[in-house]
Amino acid sequence: MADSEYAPFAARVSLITGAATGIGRQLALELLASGQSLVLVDKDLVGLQSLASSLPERCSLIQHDFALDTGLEDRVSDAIEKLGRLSGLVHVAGVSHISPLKALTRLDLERVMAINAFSAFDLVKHCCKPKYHLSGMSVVFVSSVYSLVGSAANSAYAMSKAALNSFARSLAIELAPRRLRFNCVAPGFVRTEMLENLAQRMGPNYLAELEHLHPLGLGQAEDVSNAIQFLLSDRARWITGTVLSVDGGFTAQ
Amino acid sequence: MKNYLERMAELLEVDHVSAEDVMEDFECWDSLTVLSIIAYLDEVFKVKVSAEQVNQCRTVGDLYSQYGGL
Repeated sequence: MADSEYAPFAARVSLITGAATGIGRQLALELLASGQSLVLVDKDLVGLQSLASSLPERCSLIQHDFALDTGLEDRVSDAIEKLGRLSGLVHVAGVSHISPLKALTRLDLERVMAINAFSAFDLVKHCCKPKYHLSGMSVVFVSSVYSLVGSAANSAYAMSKAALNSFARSLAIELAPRRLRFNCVAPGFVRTEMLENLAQRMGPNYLAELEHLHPLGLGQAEDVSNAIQFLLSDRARWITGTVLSVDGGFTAQ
Repeated sequence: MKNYLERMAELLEVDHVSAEDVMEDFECWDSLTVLSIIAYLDEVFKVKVSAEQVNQCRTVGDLYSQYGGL
């Protein structure tokens, strides 16, 4: 299907949070390769710089820690002024938090909610102002299988990711008259540096146990990136308010 | 040390613990309790330990001297 209704996919501007590593980085690399210009957000500025080094004219970098609610709006405005109005917004940034209830504190929960969920509010509150996006902008939140199924020691993380699912559904209805789309992808476990670090702490059988939970095996960052790009594209123009499982069959069991 | 013992009592689901208590003797000792201890050490002492490292400590006091008293 041609991208006829709006700007061609390759000519669009997208904003990606959590772009320095993992799924966000993979998505950024693929969108840059397709020709898009990107607003890249992460607390790791060095990681962003290495990502953008080959195409600096098509990238605008924003160092931001979503644990802190300060200063994002002005920097996003500046970036949009440089690159053009947004056609895509993908919120990948997040933090995992493994802690059983008896060790979980209110402060832990507030931090996880701030980074994973309230951050999405900050982003869309600003980016959904008409002056900052083009018609038909697609917004994708990266949720988790744990927003859909239970898992011991993951209650804070699960709560934060489930909040994204509900937030996307509500905004899908509220902003459909303006032709904005909101969806989530709910990935299973993908092989990233974060997962390797976690596996070292959890013990020798951890990765094998995780693998067993995924009938198609553990995923790669590009598996999630592919799904996000579909939701960003006009091929998904009649899809809004969904949570797309991208999990190798994890939640099919 | 006093705060540590109070928090360990909470994680081990008893009213009081002493440094000499053997961790695996507690009724609630399981992988979730180990995870709780990992999260607690990370939060309070800013030290990242593995499940294996926690299991290598025999007593409540051993854990403190190894990772809590840094």
